[in-house]
Amino acid sequence: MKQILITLTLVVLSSILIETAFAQVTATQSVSLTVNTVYKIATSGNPGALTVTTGSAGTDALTSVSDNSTSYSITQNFGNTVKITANLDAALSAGYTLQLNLASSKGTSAGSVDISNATSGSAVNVVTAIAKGADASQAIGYTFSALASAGTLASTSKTVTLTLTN
Amino acid sequence: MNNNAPIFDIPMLHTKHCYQNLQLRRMIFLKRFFLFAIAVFFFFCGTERTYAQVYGSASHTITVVVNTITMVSVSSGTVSMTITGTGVIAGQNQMTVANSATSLLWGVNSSLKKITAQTNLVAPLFAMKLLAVSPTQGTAAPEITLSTTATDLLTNIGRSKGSCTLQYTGVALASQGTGTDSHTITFTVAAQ
Amino acid sequence: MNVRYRHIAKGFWRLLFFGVIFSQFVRAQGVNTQQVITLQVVELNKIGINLNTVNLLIDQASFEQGQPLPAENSDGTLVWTTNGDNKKITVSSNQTSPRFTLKLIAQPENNADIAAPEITLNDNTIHDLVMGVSRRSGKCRIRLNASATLSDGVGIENHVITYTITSS
Repeated sequence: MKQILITLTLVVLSSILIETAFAQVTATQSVSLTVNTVYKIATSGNPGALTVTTGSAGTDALTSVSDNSTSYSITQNFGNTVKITANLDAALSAGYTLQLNLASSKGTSAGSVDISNATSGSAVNVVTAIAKGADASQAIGYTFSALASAGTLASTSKTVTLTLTN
Repeated sequence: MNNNAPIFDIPMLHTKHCYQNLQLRRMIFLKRFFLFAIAVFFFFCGTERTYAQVYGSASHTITVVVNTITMVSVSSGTVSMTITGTGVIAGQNQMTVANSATSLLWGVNSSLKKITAQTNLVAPLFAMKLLAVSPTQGTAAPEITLSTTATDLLTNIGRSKGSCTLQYTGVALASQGTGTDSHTITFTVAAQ
Repeated sequence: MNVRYRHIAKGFWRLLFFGVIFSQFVRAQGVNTQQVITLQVVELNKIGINLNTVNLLIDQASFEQGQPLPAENSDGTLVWTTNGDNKKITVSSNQTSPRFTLKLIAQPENNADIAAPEITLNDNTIHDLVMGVSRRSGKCRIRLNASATLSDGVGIENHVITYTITSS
């Protein structure tokens, strides 16, 4: 009788052990991935000096100069209504004009936009309706023009801020 | 002297011959010493046998059964990853985030097992990749993209315990927008 | 619950709600990048005349005056552009001692430009033609007048007339 009891106990314990072993065959882990709103914009560098050196006799508008040596790249996942605005750190004096033209394959370029008087409080749109995703190495074009009546301009540095915003 | 005579006959011989010579006495002495030594020997040997010879005896048969044991667990039940834009390069559509903070631990006493991984998320917004890094046992499979189908994560698991680092990589495209995926990853030890 | 407390509670939840919405909005603002551009306009002075060649032919005479009639040409237009200050336009001829008389007068279109009186180009000295030229483009008609006396005889004289923008 005693041996039977012991045997039965062993069988039960063994069954429990087997169940326990099988219960650990799988393990689970909760993994969450959250993607927040991302805005990224960068430029390839600074353009070369824009120096007006010539003009035509009898014409107040001097010959403009251009630079297309730089580019910009963006990445955004916010929406399809994102835009790029541009402004200068300080407005140009009257008679000098700086135009900016940003190419875009994900949005609508506004073409050449006069940013001479665009400051932080009055930034102007240069690209609109940018779709979600990335747009790399899009050309930045600057055109600087001056009127003879504005006189000469000593070498001046201006900071152009391109803002990717909604 | 009769060598076949019983030992207890010696006193009788002693009475009969009255110890007539010294050689005979020496022989008697030696015989007595020999008898004493035998008695002492059997006394001590008999003591041991006295203890072993208890009042009964019994025997039983012990059967040790080792079943298939398989264990797998993770060091932490929760992993959270967020793509915030840090490290994202302007102009690149793909954004990634990685996490190697947790480990997978297992133990098997049978041979040729593998560990698979799968997610319960049927239609994730973003891709979730998993790689078993530096397994102490077995062979790590190339990085897998988690799906609802169990995919091999580790193979050639043998009779021992082991561990590896779980390297999760979340991949999102900027064109996919924002959102959150909540996966429940199931690791399974299966026959290979 | 007291009505006042209920209003306070409502206000709290509204504040929380709009706070969360506003924080999302603020977080959704974009990023920017900057470029430094260097602008410069150097001083430049440009001047030009539209007629490269002018022929003044004296072939008639006045019986009343008893002299050949002068020949005139007003087709020439002098244009200039300068973004400098305090400039003037001068004129000169390469003829050091011409036999015939050549006079020139500038008729500016802009009142700001001060034209000199009629200039006689009878030597190769430099004459001021237009004064007060600063930071603008300008234009003036050039009237040339060639004359000769009977005693000057006949002949051909070539003048190379040079207009120059220079500091005044």
